[in-house]
Amino acid sequence: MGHLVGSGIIPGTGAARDAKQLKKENRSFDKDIGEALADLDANGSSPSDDPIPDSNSVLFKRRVRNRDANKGKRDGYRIIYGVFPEGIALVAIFSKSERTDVPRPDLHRLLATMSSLLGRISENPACTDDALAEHKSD
Amino acid sequence: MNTSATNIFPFVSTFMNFAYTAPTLSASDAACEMSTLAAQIRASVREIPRDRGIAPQQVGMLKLAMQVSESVLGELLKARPELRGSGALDELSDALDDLDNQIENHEIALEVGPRVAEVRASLAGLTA
Repeated sequence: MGHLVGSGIIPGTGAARDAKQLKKENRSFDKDIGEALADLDANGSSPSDDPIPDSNSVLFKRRVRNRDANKGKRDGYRIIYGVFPEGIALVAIFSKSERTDVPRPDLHRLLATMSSLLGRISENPACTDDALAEHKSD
Repeated sequence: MNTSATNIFPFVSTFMNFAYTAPTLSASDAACEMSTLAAQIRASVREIPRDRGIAPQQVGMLKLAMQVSESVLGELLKARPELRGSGALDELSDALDDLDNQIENHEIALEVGPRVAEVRASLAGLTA
């Protein structure tokens, strides 16, 4: 069963609420998500979609580019869909927010804490003269 | 599959080492370290189960480790812009992307349970 139930977004569900909110914030939402849903409807689940752990291969995640964010798939939309006996239906849609760097003072504190937890840091044995020679041509 | 911290987090100590030594490394030494880190992160990603969930605490620790690693890398690239555009940096960025993706899958697994029940109930109503 590879086809969407209706539009794939069942009215009244969390996915419908997600879509309404994202549509307000992103002008190209209909185009971006519409293309992804058309592909799901035509081809069903793709091997490149990620299975969601503990879902017994019912839930999958597809990463979709957000044209408004002008970034790659990593910072785009996430469509979580279920492959149910009735067909494919969306469970959630969200926009991956931009990564926020850890502020420098916090970073230094975290590094110190993690270092003490992990014990003495050893020298990396892989960085021998031979290994380095391979990278000198980079 | 054993998913203890020892086999998920080996890259963290290498990243810590990298954070402390990177400012003094030559470009070729830094590239070697980045390549080693990429290999360790890929190995860690392979240890994270794809079908089975992991404890919320482990998801949180992985997320923190990745955020710290990415921030360390960001700081390093600000200080050493000549490292941008290298093959080793692309390799490391790809490995961090894979790690980020796996962590995200586990975060979703922890969050979507009630939503699945809601969709199943709606589907039953639609097809009744």
